Amino acid sequence: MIEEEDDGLQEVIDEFVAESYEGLDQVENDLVVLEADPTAEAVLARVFRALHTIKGTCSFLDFGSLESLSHSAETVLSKMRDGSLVADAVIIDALLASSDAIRAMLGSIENEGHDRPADYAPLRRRLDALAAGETPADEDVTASAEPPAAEAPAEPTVEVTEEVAAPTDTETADEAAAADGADDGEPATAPAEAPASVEQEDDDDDDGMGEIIQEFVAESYEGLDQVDQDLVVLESAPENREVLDRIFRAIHTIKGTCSFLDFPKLEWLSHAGENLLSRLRDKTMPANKDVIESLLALADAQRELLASIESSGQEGPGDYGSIADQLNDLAESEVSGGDDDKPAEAPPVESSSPAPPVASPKPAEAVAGAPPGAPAAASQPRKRAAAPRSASPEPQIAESSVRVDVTLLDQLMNLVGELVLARNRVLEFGQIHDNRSYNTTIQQLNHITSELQGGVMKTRMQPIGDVWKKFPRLVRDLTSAFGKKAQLEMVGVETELDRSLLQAIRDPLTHVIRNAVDHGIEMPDVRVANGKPAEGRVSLKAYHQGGQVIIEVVDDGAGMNVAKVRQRAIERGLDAPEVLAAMTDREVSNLIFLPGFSTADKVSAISGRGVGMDVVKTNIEKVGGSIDFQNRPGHGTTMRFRIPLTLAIVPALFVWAQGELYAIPQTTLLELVRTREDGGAESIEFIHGTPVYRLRGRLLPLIFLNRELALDARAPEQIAADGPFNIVVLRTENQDVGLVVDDIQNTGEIVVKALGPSIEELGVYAGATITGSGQVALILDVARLSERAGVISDTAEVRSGTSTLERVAAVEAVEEMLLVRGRDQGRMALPLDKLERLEEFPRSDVQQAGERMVVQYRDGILPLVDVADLLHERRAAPRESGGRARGGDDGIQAVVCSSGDHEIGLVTDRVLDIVKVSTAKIAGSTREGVLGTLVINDTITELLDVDLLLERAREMGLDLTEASLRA
Amino acid sequence: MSASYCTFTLGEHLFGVDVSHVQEVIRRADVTRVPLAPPLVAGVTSLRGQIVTVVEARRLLALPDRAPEMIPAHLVLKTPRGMVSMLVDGVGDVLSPPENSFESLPEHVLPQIADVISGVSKLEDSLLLLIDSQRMFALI
Repeated sequence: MIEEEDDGLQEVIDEFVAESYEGLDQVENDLVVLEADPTAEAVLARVFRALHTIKGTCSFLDFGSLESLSHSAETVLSKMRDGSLVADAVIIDALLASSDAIRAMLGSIENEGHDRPADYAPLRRRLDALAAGETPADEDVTASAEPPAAEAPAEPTVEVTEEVAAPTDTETADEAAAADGADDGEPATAPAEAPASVEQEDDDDDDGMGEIIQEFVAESYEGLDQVDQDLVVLESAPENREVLDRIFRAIHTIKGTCSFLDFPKLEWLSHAGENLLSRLRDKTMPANKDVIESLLALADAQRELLASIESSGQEGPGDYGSIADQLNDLAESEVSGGDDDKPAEAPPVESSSPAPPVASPKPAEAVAGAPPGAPAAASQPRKRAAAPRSASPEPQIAESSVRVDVTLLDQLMNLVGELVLARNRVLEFGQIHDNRSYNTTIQQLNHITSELQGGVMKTRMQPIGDVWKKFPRLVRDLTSAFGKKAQLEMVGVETELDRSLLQAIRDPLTHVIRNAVDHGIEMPDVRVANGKPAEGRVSLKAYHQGGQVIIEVVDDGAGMNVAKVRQRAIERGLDAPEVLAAMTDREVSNLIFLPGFSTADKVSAISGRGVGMDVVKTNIEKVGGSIDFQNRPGHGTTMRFRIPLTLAIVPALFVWAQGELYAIPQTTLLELVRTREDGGAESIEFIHGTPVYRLRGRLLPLIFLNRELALDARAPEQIAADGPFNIVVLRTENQDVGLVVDDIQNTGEIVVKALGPSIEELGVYAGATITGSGQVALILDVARLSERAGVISDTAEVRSGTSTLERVAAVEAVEEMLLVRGRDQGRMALPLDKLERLEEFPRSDVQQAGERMVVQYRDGILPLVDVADLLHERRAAPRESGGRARGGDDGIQAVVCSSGDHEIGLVTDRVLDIVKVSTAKIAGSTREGVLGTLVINDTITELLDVDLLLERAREMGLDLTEASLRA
Repeated sequence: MSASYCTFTLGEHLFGVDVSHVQEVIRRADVTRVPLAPPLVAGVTSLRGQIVTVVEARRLLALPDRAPEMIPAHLVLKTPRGMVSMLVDGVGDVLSPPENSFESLPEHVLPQIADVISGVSKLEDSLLLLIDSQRMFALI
């Protein structure tokens, strides 16, 4: 039997495996939710349904081992549902383990065709023990995890006996029908136990349950439509096993869900149909006209019930006893006929089981419907069922969505891309031909195209939650593996992005979350010692911002130890020690994106093998995204991903170089700068032969596009004499560069097209697009272009964000300094790029908090500290302690500096000037906190080491974090 | 069983390429330069929305560059690495020279490209140089 219909059956099995995998993803997510909120009725219902569907199909496909395991899990769930078990860690652990086991079994079914990759009896016993209200013996769990036994004194025993029976049943007799018997016994007890609680739940969990019921109704409609078709096929081809299997599955799924959702009539009716179908399957009964007729009548009756459920939430007063009788009669009729041993055993089990489920829920429902055995005219139901269906309000849920082949969507997307290009071309004609009606039509075309584009792009959008589903489980597994405690919080699950991008971010996100738990969150005792709640928090946030999707992974762990990273970087020889020492904290924290870098003290099985963040970064950049890392020492980290909404159509800037148009994706664009007409060569300086432009005090390395593309062979010095220049300021990696172009055209949406391999290999172009005039314009890959130009070289040392150029500049170039006078009249200079702002606070605003001075500043509190207090003993100058600032009544002048996201105000006596200083002239340091001394305006001036001062301020107990509260 | 060749001219030479590797012929198409690309690559063009690399047949077959005033035709080829448009001076007829007219390339004719030419066929008034498509595709 199996051999001859192998193909059909295999297809059913494949489908089952695929669906079950999907179901399990959701189950795992839901289980973690349940652990946090054991009262989430709707979530529990969903888990139950998923497992029940797996179980039901197994019983049909003869996977006894998988079936009995899912049955055991289901029993635990049903105990949770009726309140006799509470979802605690032990139970959730066991259920998650079952989910894993089921997965393994599915894998084995998929690859080897059987469901016994291992022995799952211990797991099953563990579940059964849980269901019985015992703490499993083979688990090292604390006694506290035990569920309140007093609540369920009687039921467990009932369940236990049933549990003992069920597995043996299914293992010994691998017969679907027998399994069904066991299956039915279970729901039979559930409704009977909790008639009162069912009504209660209706009130408080209406929404969740309502959603599930809606989903159930929609799915069932779909299933029944297929059943109708299949029945007709079956009539003409009674031997078609595949079709029969599909019908069976559809009816069984309805039955199973009904038993859970407490729709006894529908359940009982479906059960009757299932009995009949199993006879067909056993080939003890031919699929003759009568059988098909009654099964069609069943489908109609089911629809009618569904319609009633959809509109009123109730099954309604309809009486389907006659249909059930008809089905049962048919199912029984052949028993006396010639049959083999199997059905002889099966029908009695089944025919006896329909009664209890209906009989027991009835009182709870308090519906005066017909009991199962109630006689009714056997000929009527089919017609009666059909009539109300057309008259009753049409079911809407089922028709509000359709399934579309993904390849079709991809094709549509391509076509829309073409349309956008054609539209662009037509728009250009409009500018040439000044004809009003023509232009109006074009405008219309323009709008329609834009809307169509938006619409098609929407169809490809998927909520990010689809990818996040597996993360709660991940975090849970990780925390329990490490003995940590952490909760995953997800905000913005509904945020949508293109499905291709969704795939691209899955692994990077997994990696980052893993890191956050492994490296970020501390052990509970450490957390408590640091005044944090024992349970850590990892939050995933997604939202739209400016045409991009921002995804943040935030943890409240220890943050990154910058000193350790610096140390590790030196050990690994990633850069010269003095260069690393000169790096800012932020630059250092970006070292984690270097290949082969790891800060983990020891390599764990989970993370810390040094493969990772560089891959994450590369993968994110591959799809046009970027990644940003923020470190808050002692308070956690934030990893922020910026992902474009879609890959295919992106906004871009068009620029000219030697008569050709090039496109630059706007995601990298920072600003456009045009140098002054009279500036000429003066505005461009050279440091070691590299052209730079001074943009608001920062040195911006320049790339001459013409030269880089070998369109202009002159030396940069000669080109620089041309002026004025159009500079496109772009962000690449961590480095900003200025791209000098001939002219800037306009911005527009471009459709990215792939280039041929020989051109793609050049690594300079990210693709091409077709402009409004039909010309091909190349899209510049800015990052690769700057790499070529040597602004950002491939070597590790430079990737970290400080280019050779900047470092050279730091050592030898001129730097802008803020010149201040300390309260001892000494002159001090602070590098301007270390400073945020200059502020003057009225003296009255400054408050004394203990030893500290604070001032309210921008919705937060800014600690103030006198520079002199941070410096070690120096020239014997009169000094007051306590950090009270002086300087008359004209307010306090403070220099606001930031370190990470902490801010502090350095109080000076007076801000004198901003001067340009050649850093080459810096002489040796005189004391700690001072980088060196230099002569400015004939006065000896100390160059302060701002980073060190901030560090010291923190050591002095000046709580810098208060400023961060603003954020 | 004799193959059909799409013929094209470069200077005074007549070449033939297996017609099954020819997608189409375009008389005129705008070519966008691709800086930094190898000399063989003349640029890219758009063929019904698809970006196609354009190669210069004269460079490929080691002939002197075309005079700037001459407007080349595009012979679009189906290569294993996608469509490639080849710039030629002009496109001629599709010919099916009888197999027995094939000879090996005389040594004095274009020795620099001998390995791309699979043979020659003597036509009434000229010599048809038959291109080995696979070897040519390996170059572009």
